[in-house]
Amino acid sequence: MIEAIDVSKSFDGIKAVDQITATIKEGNVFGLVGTNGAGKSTFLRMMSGILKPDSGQIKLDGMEVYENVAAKERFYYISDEQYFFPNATPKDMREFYRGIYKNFDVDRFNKLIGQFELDLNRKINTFSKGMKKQVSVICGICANTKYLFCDETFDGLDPVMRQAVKSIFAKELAEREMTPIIASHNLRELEDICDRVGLLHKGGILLSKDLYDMKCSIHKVQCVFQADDPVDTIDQELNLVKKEQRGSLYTFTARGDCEEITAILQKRNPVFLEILPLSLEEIFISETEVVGYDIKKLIV
Amino acid sequence: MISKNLLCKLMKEDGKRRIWSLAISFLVFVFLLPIYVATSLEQAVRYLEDGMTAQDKHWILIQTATKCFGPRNTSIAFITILLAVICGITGFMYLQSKRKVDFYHSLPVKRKELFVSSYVNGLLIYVIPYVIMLGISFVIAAANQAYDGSVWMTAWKTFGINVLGYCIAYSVVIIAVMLTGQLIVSLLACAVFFGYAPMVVLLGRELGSKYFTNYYYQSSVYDSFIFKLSPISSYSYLTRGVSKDNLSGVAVLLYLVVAVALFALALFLNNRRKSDAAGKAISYPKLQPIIKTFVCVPVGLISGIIFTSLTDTNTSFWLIFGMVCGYLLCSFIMEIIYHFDFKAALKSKLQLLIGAVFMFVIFFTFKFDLLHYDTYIPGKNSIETMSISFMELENNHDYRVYDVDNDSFLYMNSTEYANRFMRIKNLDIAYEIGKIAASEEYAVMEEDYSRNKKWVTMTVQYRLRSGRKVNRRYEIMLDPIVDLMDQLYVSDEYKEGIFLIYQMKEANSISCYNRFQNLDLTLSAEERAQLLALYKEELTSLSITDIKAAAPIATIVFRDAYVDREEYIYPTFTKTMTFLTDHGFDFTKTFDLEQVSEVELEYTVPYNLRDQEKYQQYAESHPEMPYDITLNLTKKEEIEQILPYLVESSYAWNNGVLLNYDTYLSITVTTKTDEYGNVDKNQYSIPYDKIPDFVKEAILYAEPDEY
Repeated sequence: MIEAIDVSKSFDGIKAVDQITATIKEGNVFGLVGTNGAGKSTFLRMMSGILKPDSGQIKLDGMEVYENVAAKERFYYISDEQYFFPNATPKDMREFYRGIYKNFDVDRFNKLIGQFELDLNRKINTFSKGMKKQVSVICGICANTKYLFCDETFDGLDPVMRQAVKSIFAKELAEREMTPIIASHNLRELEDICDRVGLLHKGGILLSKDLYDMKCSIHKVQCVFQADDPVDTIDQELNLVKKEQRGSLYTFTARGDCEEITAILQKRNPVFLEILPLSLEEIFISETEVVGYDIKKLIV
Repeated sequence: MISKNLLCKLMKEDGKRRIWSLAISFLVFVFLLPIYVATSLEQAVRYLEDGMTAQDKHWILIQTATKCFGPRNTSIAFITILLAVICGITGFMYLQSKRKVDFYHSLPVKRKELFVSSYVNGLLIYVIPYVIMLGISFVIAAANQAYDGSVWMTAWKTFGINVLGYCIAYSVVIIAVMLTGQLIVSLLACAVFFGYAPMVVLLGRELGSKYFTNYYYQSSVYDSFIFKLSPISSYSYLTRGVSKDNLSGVAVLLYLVVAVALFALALFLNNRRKSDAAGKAISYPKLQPIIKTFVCVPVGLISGIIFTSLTDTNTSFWLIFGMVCGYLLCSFIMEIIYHFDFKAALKSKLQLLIGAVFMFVIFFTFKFDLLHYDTYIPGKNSIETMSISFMELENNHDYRVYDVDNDSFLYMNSTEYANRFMRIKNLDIAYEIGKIAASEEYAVMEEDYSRNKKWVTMTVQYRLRSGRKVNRRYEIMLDPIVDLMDQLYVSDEYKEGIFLIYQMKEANSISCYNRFQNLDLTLSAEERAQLLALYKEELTSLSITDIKAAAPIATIVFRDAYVDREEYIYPTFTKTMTFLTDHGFDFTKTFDLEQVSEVELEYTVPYNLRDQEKYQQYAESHPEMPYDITLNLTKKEEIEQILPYLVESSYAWNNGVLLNYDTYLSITVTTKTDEYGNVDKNQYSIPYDKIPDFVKEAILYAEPDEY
């Protein structure tokens, strides 16, 4: 289990991470989502022991991470721009990691390199961005660590490879309860893989929930009401996150149980009522809007 | 505790990535050792002659090998510093890249383990090629019969010192990398670490000589310490020590401690360095204002000095203008570097102001002598010994001392010689002279330079009981101190610091000459010793009164295995003269009037008299040489009025301050040397009061009291 307790980090007086408290349980795929500059990478770099929090603690299985080899042996960190030694081949990297991680699985590495149709002896600096990502993911998987920290790892992978990686993650999860923690701004990438999501915004954590719970606790409903219905009073009846109106068609995003929301609206005897599926992206936008992040300014 | 296994793994991987540094190191050491040894020995063999003994040949070869393996192979020193910079930068440059920092610092390896592995590799990159090439070079030397224990010893001693120098420079480079976050800034930091301390010492010297009237620089313990804060100066000190074979074990131990301390500091900075410092100019933001102030203040002061030199003026305006420009420019550049933003140039205005105040405080301290440098003299009770030298007195000596230990000559001036060999313990007279000089009451004024006033340039060194040395140089009028000078002059403590003859223990040969004869004396060892002792005894008794009374009548030359010492024989040296007369030197010989064909007198009109009417008229009628009035005497009755009073012009110059010779008047005596018309011309001077009236009239001579 990874615990972040009241963790803060500033760069040149600017708070990148502000008093985050979160718990990441093992055996889940944890998605760390947030806008650009939300502090995802910083949080992940603190979890990896690269950065030392200005205040607060980050514990990995009860151990402080920073400068703690025992804690660091339990994870592998894939940065958004993974570094490979100059002129190194996948084989060179394999040999390096083999010396560093006790349980590095050489056979698995060779097998995965083959599966991804990568050349073991070709210099990595001649690989494409996506191929480099594949090498870094393979290294991470084969390090056989309990946790795998991925920073924007799926960015740059083509859909086929993305699915392949996801399936490897799923297999690892099933076989040895590996816990990947994936930071991404692309919610669609996480939607089908994460069990739990932590939503970061402006350095703070907005929410940290099971994806299933999250999806169940916020809903989008489209309604057309009777002409004489006082629609404005709905604000008091529903825990609204968002309300939109196009002509007589209302779209509500509200927190709460799906059946309760439906029951409240049904009481008004609407002409039309439909529960719409809410994507993780919409949940993210709604949640950030609630705390004042004007997403519309970014969407032209 | 670092696991050996992990350390080896890390070193192996680090080594793979630094293979090119190792290749460079191998390449340069191939040239610096085996190739250099082989070519040097080949050259040496070419110079071996058939007539040489086997011992001489062996000696030449061993000397050549010693030169190649020892500290005189200065290319190794240069490469040592260069490799220290290359290895220090390349080994730790990963800290300046976010990608690399993320990679290395996320690994289950402690930062100190990464540091140690990289540090050791950097050391091995230097040491391994050096040792291997040393081994190959030994084989080459042995094959040329140029190898023995002394060569082996020299090579390893030099190796040890080079490795020590490398470690110091290497650690300093690493510290520079640790304190910075960008390659260019790291290189600048290296330049600052390497050059800052000598620059500060030189700046202090420059400001001292510019603003203190009585400034005299002699390297002090403090200066020497500051100078050695630069790794290059320290390394240079170590190699010089090995070269002269006078490097003490304590010094080596001290430098070992320094090397370990620098390693510890680099490690500490490595452990404390934040990973997010990568890409920033300075990794410890709190140091930014301190570094900026410490760099910009001396740069501002240097800039002021450069401006005054460029404008060839000595006005404060250009100096202050230069200081302000240099300081501001340096501050702006540093702020731009700190923030990588041109708009940041004017940031930190308060810091800018504080630094400027600091700079002006230093400037005004020198400019207005706020610390009373010029008038300070130490308390008499705190002084152990003193030395005093007068530039215008006895300045004919060639202060060249043979250093037996280093088989070389030490060249110095009279002041350096006095500071080295004069130990005045009876302080009364010397201290009184120092006190008068420091009072500034009799300091030479600007107008005194152009007048025919007599003044001396005097350098005083006070050696305090605390070990500190206080040096001052004064320009002071002669009259107020001449009596004290006379008393000082007769003391053996003073003379031993002026006359080199006191250093000579025995003379291998002695000769004596003047303008009329030159005699190589044929003397036994006992006689030579006797003459040397006689001469020293009479020289010790020589007073300024004696010097004023009569000019020397000959020069005696004592030679030992290394140097010739030429000293005057004054008429008061009766015992010496008797000895020399007994051995064939004729002191009665003088000019033969029959042989003198001409006496030419050339009077250069003093500058401050040239606007007088008589000189103006002369100048108009003699436009080719307007202010050099010449008179040629060929009549015997005229010549004989001059000849008895002539002294060699070199002597008149050497002790001119004490004597009444007019240096504006030069006299050339032409004498016939044979019947074929060959002549000899020599320069002479004459005392003021012995110039005949007809000469004065002809050359429009002005008496000294006229100007």
